[in-house]
Amino acid sequence: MPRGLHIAMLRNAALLVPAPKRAEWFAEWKAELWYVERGATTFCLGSFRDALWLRSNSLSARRTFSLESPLRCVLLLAGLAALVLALALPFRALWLPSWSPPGTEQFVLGFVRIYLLSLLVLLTLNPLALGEYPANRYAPSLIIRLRRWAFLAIKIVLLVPIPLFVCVALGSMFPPAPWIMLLGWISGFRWLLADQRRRCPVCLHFLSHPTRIGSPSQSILGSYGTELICTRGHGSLYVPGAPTSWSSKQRWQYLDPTWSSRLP
Amino acid sequence: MASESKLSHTAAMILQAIDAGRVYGFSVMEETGLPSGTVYPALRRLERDRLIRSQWESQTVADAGQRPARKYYRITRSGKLTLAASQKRYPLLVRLFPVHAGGKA
Repeated sequence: MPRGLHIAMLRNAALLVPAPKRAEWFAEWKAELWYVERGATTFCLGSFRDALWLRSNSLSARRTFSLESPLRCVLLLAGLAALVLALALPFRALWLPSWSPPGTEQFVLGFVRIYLLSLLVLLTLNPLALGEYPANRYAPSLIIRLRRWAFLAIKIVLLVPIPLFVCVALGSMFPPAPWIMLLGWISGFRWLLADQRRRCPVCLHFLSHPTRIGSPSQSILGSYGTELICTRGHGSLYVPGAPTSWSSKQRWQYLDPTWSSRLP
Repeated sequence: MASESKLSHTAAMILQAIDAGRVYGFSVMEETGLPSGTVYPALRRLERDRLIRSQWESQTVADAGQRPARKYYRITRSGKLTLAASQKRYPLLVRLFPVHAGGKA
């Protein structure tokens, strides 16, 4: 294959590299290619993997900054709640006159109705089960296991006021604001459940290294799904590709503590 | 150190190759027999974890050799410590690559 085509392969791979690193990345690969005498095509194919690694690494770094840590997740939600509260406060004066006891009662009833409606819609759209987390001999103490539920409760407490305050802020100028509150709760709770499901129940950090197990064509006799691990070695999570009679929910398995030193 | 125990065998092999004097990505590939798609991402990871550091060769030196300037990698002090820990875990690692003549310069 002519040299020009190898350079073109590198140029295409370079498009995957984040822009600030692209020029240097291309220069390095081009320089290395100069020394390759045989197997230049295979060599250049490897550049795509390198470029993808750089891209995913910089993306995961951004994700890590926002939500990977449970503390950051809680702080982000608290920040959002504080922000929408600050946005809603100037409209308090407009709402206050109607907040006489009958008005308040009506407001609270409306709020509860929309809240229950959102839970009903959520139930029909999405199963609420978080998965199976059976305790085995490597399971940590009950207090550590309860942290997962405490984290979920904190997230719910912080999430509930966000669509509510948005509705209060928009209410006076945008009549369909209650619908925004409804949609906000539905999407918020869906995110909340998905976020909870992909966290380690021990350290509450995101699970990583998803690995496909089995294949859809062999789902009758074998399992088919994705397995994720906690990089701190607390355990692995099996997520079935399709619900079956023996495996309908995701299932967590606590691992021996020595796994922490074996994981990358 | 946490990172000492977390180095995979492939990463330890690449670190060992760099310590033995294979300071360019392609020379690491040749020595370890690993494909480019494994070696270069591993180099990025090692550099991110500050176990190695990279530096571009001077253009003057490259021009004198009538070749493009290359990026070369050197093991850091932290990398040496990690490699020592990995050599204890993988005793055959040290026998894999003889020290390159010009590598330790």
